Amino acid sequence: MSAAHYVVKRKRTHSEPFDPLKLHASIVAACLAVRTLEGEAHLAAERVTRHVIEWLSSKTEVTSADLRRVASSHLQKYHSEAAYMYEHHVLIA
Amino acid sequence: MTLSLLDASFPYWLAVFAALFAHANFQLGISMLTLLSSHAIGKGKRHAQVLRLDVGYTLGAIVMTAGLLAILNAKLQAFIGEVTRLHWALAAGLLGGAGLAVLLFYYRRNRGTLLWLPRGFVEFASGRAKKTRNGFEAFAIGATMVVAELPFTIAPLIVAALLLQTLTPQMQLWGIIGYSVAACLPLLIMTMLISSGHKISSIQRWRETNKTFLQWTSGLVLILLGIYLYGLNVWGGGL
Repeated sequence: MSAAHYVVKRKRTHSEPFDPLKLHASIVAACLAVRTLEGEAHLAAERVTRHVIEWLSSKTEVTSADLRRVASSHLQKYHSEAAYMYEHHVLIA
Repeated sequence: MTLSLLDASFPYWLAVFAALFAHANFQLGISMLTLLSSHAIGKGKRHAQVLRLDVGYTLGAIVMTAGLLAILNAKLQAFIGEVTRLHWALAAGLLGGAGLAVLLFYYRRNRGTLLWLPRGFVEFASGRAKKTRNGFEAFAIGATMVVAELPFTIAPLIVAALLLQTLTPQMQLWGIIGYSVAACLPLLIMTMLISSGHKISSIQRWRETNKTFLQWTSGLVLILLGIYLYGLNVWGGGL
């Protein structure tokens, strides 16, 4: 089953199809925010996105908070500082 | 001017520093600057662009703080003329109330550095901070954050405005500029840290680790300043 079939609920007001490119871009942004080199950021994002797609294979519907938690737990293995920013940027203000 | 414990101006300076310390400890401005910078760096903006945004934001905060203090100063001069014991008693009460509010409500009780401010407004401001592309918009956001945090900062601002009444008009201008720059010192320090290559994650980690300490120190300083000013100006002979 393709990852595009999964629906992500955001704040319980609307849902949208899972977009691996969006996840990839957000992980790259978190890596760049902690001054990681661009190549390293893309590599980490690619690995984490693969892990998340694998995790999604057994799900029909997930929340954006679930996605964030799972992605940041995998990102932790590759870049702990980026994982911290990725998980915490919604908890800053 | 030399400053010693026996100096007649010592109580004045002590009150100004305490008000400034409490004011500078408030965190909304820092949170927004963290968001603005992390998103600008995350989008791959050049170092100069990030610096321009950070400087614009900090300048906005300084200008708005100076503007608010100047307005308060002018209104106090126009409406109350001479500062009496009643005015000091009201200011002391306001400080105590603000201090209690900071101790009880300032941070939300969960991870991160979320503040007790209307979520709709904070989410709108965060959204704008993340999308900011030019220095003018960053300036406007910096200025807006100073207004948004007024429920907490109004007490030290009023005390600063009352203390300014004891100065000559020329010194009042310097007082307003000095207070505004000093109150925004954390923003200036953060701008310097980011521009010198520090990781935003380490700054945010530090803020999260020390948030209880910052909350308690600013809350207690506000309460103690209220008691100090009440004792000095209502019970004692005044400044």
